[in-house]
Amino acid sequence: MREGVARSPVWGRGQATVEFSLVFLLFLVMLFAILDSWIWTIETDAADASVEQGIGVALSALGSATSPTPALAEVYANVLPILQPPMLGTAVEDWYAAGMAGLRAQLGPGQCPTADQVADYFEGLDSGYDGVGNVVVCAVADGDGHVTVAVTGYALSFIPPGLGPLNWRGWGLPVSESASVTVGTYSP
Amino acid sequence: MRARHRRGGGQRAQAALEMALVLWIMLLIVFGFVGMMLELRAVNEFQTSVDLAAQGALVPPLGDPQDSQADAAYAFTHTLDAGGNESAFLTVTEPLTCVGPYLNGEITDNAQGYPEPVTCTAQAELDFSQTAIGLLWFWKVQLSATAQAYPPQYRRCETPLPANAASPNQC
Repeated sequence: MREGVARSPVWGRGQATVEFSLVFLLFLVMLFAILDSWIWTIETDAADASVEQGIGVALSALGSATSPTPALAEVYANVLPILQPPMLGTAVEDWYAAGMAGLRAQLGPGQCPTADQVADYFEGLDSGYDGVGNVVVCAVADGDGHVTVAVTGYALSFIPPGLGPLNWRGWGLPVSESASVTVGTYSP
Repeated sequence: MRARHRRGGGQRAQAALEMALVLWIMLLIVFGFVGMMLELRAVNEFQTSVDLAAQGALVPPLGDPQDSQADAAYAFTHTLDAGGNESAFLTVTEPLTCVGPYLNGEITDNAQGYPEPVTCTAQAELDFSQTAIGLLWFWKVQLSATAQAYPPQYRRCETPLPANAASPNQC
């Protein structure tokens, strides 16, 4: 009895500490889930705006206003100012950069990669955790009169929330925005 | 001694109750916020799709309404959810509709001297019931998007007219 009474305050403090730790951990997970979803929204909105901008650039036609050849390689430089700032440490790569030659050869000239293909490629290059932290700006023509612009990859995040239908890959936020339109010219 | 036992049991019950309340509130906040972010994303993507559809309608030359409609539809369907992120909860309820004099092979100037635009509209529905977010967002959200694109000068094609021109504006 004496022993129980003597230990009671210590036991109570220990219990409070454990309870606080559990609740605080839960609180942190939820806080980071909120932050992640917020960051993801900002990043994918920027990707969305970049894709829309990139479509306009690709349609501007290479060389002259009457050229039917889309200006695919011009897209990256034009969308980078929109896309890079909100990416918060995630690298934004050009589909036509020399470092992407392996993935380009693998997919062929008319196809943009999926987010997982980008992550797999960079994982193979030992870049980032599980290939996360890289997104690619891709612009291709399908050879059938259409041009596609895509921003895909996995951006960095705080934690993997694992909520909803999204395809969370390890510690990354999936970015997969794409648009496709018929090739045109800025001339009659 | 019995009173102390009762007090201990009461404290445990109180702690469990507090935890249940706090947990529920935390879940409400998280699911509410994540749902709101997903809704913002869907709204933005839906609007982009309709924007590009309106611009796509102006890709074919004046006087080619079938291609204009086809290009608008192509841009809409290949932009909306091309990545597949929103497919679990976004459904198009009113398909894309584009109207405007340009789609009839005409250019009509408004009172300010600008050509009448091509106007595209579509509606969709957000339903989170098949996801964890549906625990809080159990209602459906209606989305409506409208976009306008103005025919540029080089699409007006007023001169030179070909000999067999069917319309004063036809290229």
